[in-house]
Amino acid sequence: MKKIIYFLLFITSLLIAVPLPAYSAEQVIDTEKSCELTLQYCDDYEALSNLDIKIFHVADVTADGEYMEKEWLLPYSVSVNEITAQSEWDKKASTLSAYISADNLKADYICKTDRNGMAIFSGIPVGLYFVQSVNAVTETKTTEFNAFWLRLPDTDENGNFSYNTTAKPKYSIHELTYDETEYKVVKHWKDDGNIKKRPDSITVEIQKDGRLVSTEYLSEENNWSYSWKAKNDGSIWKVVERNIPEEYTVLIEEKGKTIIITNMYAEKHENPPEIGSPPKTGIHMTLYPFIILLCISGALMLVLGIRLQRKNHE
Amino acid sequence: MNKKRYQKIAGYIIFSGIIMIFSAFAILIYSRVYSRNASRKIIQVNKKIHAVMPEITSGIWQEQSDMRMQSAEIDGTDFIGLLEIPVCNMKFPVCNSCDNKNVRIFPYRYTGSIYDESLIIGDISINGQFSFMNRLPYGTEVLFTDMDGYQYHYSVCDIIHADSLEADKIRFNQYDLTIFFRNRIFSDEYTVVGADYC
Repeated sequence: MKKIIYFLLFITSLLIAVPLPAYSAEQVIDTEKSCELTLQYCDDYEALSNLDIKIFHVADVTADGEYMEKEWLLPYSVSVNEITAQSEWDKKASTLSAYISADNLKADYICKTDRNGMAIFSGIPVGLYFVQSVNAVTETKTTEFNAFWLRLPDTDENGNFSYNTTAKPKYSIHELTYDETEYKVVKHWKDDGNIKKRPDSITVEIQKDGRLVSTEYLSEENNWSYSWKAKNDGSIWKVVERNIPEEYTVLIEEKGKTIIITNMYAEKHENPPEIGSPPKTGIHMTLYPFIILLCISGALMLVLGIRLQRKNHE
Repeated sequence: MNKKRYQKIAGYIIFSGIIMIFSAFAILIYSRVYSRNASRKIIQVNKKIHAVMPEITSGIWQEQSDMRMQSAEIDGTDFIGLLEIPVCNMKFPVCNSCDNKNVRIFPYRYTGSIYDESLIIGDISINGQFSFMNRLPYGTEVLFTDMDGYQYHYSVCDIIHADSLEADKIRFNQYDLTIFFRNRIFSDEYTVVGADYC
């Protein structure tokens, strides 16, 4: 009996003394540590070398994982806090990518991909980074690598922080036809139909490969849209909005050859109708009852009038 | 004297009767012309919406914090997308809200959003353009395309006739997409079509 008790005590002390892997995970980010980031740029056919990969330090990250945005990010209304969905991250990536290109912002770190398509960034501080989109153009195709966000350190499959990260950006391959293709920019609103708050027009800049091509004005006259034709030769077309209306933020998305600029009103102020109350309009009846009533009344009047006349003659 | 007076009165009555019948026909013709112009306007607006809409792709449900529907302003009116019933070859632009000017022609977003399956579309136009929905069989495909070109597929699962839109009679929130329209001539009877995402 004593032997069994001693054996159990021994096992218990081992369990307490020897840290188990699950309890040894780092729950706090070491903000003093440096990170290494490897980005792989390969498509279905080959590793793409000699591409300029630019990364931007958009926010510092605290020990408990909160983001402290850098000052340079503030004018672009691309807040990285309170984002709950991947779709929002994607839209903000598209927006920031457009403004970085349009304003020719200087990257915090630049590296060229080697012959294996790898770009290695060493000794970079912890934080939230933005990797700018990049295109690899050949004579027959263009491979577009999407912009994306990356937090360093990343977390591995065990939930531990990893200060040595490898990432492979999403890409899409487009055949170059060199035909004339129509591009368009359209303005959408997310403001609960608050037409009174909207400006009379907005200004957009159209950029090709980072250079300003034209400045256009979208308004009610052109149904808040503008289109232009260009050769499908792998050029990168970006559109940004300038002089964003007060109380609105902007999101820029690309869908095929259409660039959608959505202005969102900061406040959500819709008062939804109470279900059960009928829709209020000036019309409460259709016209058909009046038509029928008028016909019957008119016919009756005619009959009455003719009968009166006949009676009068008699 | 009495004879003349009666003759005069009879004349006025006949004249009034003719005016009434004439007015009835004038209103009927106006109503027909209005309906035809409304149909033309719908076709025109559909074309303009397609011109500003990106390439149409299948809609996917994505979590998002802002469930508001984006709208595009076409000819001074906000539209949130296109409602289609392919089997009947019908396509309608949907206004973002109900206003007296447009409600006579276009269906509108009564409340809700496509993104959280709470969208309710209403139609109270005077040309009864949604009347065909009374005869839709269950399982009919209904499509809604938002202004970003994302198309969502629904299937008709319920058609209810109700004399009002009171919440306890019509549980709007039980469908992924709800469409209601007024259909009786003399009363406020409504048809409510419920469709579920497929």
